[in-house]
Amino acid sequence: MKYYVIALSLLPQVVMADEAQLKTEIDTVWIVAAAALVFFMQAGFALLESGMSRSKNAVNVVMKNYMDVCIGSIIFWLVGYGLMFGDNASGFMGASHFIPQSLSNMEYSFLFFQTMFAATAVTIASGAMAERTRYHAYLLGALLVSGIIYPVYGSWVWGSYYDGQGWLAELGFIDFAGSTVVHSIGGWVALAGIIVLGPRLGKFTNAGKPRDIHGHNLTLVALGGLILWLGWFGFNGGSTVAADTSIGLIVLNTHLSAAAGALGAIAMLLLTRQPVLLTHSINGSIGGLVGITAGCATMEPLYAMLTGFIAGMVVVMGVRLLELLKLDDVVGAVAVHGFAGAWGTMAAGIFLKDNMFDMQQIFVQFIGVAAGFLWAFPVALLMYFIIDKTLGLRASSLDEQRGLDYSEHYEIGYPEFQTELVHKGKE
Amino acid sequence: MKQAALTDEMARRRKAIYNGLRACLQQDDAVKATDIWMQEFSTKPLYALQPFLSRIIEELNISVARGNIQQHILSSLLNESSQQADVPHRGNLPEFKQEKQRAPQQVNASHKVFTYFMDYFLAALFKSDSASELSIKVYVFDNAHEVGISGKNLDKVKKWLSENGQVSLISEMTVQQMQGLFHLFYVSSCEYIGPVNTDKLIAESVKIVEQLPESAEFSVKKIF
Repeated sequence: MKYYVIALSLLPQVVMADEAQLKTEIDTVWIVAAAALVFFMQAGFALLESGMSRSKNAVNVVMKNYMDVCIGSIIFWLVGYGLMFGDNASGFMGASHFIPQSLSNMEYSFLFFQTMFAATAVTIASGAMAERTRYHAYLLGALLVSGIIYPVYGSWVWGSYYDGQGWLAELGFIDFAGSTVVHSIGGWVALAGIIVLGPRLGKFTNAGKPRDIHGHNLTLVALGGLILWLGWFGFNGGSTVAADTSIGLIVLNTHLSAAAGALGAIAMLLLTRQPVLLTHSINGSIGGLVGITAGCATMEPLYAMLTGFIAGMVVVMGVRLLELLKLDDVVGAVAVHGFAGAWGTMAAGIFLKDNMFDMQQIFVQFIGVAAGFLWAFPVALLMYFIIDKTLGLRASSLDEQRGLDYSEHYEIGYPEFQTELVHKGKE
Repeated sequence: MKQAALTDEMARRRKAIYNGLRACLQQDDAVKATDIWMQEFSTKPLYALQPFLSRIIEELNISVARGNIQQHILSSLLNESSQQADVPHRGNLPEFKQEKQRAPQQVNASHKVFTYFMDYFLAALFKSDSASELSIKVYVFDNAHEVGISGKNLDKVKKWLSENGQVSLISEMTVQQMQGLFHLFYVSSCEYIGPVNTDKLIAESVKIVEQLPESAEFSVKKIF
């Protein structure tokens, strides 16, 4: 009887221990599954960007996306994770956990998830700089983005996993899953890249009017857009870093915003009397996804939809603005990730649940957006400028004529169909 | 096999020349002018039309503007042969065959393919944007040294450009120089008519040039 009473008294503790263990296990499963979804976004980027490029550059675009994951992952593990999440006493960058080993199981899951984020930030620039960038020079840029530019800014916002806290986080800056941390940073890097590169041959007439250079496969673009959409459920949903009941609202907001983004883009195309293009519509939905990333956990669905709708409009206007500035962004990455990301981060403050239109919060959001631009853009501009002057960032016009598939990789994407324009200098 | 292809190609050209002439001349004049082309100009570069036009205007006393005739002929050469009317008095065709067989083989296949290709490509390019013809030529000449064309070859390029292809293009050019010269046209063409239209013109020109027998010996794609 005595032993029975003792056993009964211990049971709640045993159950509690089991519950905690179970919670950790479920969290791990969710984080890893979400990370896998984020990884799958790379396939979306590859399809979308190669589809929007001409067939003679399809292999090059896919190669860049593929290697972004490889390089981004390794560099982030070597230095990025430490800079972003290491002990952050200064608030400006982490200073521990470089080449992380012997971590706890949960830390490994977190590192895996964050590695996928880093790879996403890196790959944004590839589409904008497509069709005229030298492959090795691009990869060097990707290495520096994943190793320095992305993690340093990330530490300002999310750098409180161990000791210390980032200075923007201390201000109360809201960027739940990275509208600015991941997407705007990637967008500003892309902007710097296309400024240093210059436009593709013949993109603008002598009078400065842009010419359409259509991608070679819009079906791939649509498939890529849908894969990104799917992956975003992991991107935003996984940012809880726990199997949490709030995930329902987060993924619902994500989905509604994407849908509204496409509608916003179409509405803006109609308002400005432009043709309603598939590429713009897909970019609009991705703009919606980028836009809601900051506030998906802290916004009611109605405002998520509004955020996405406006993000879609921002994308269309952003593409037009870049063309007016004679900047050649092949896939619209700067508008989708840079501009829509900035808008989404502001929206996270404007439509903050239970504290809407709080000017102080909106001002903090503005500081975060501005800090992201002032950090990423000039550093990336300097980086690409130095790469251009040393290695050479821009492919020669002869390589551009022949297509980077042939000139950079010596293989072509569609050998059965590319019979007219393929250079046959060697046999 | 090669001779059959050559005959087919020349028959197509003859039909196109006739149809181009017929668009602005009376039938009699068009037939006579086609005969003149067959006997004296069919072995010349296809788009080098100026001497042919001078000759028929003088000999047949034609009052139609030369530019107008040229435009119709170029348009006809670029059109589908199946949509064009047959040439009356087809009896002249054997004469042409003999003429062609006697034509001296002065240049090798690579130069012939290159010349044919450039003729097609440039005619189509200048047709689509005649206003920029001079600018494109100036750009090509100014930059020819950058692609390894200098000295005698540079003079020949200049003459070739200034005389609208009426003189034979450089027979001493290497494949690399051909690639360079074409590339200069590609760059300036992208600037003036855009990369999409440029690629379209190249594809069309390649399709035509690949029908020539010389293309079996030297692939036109080697000059890209």
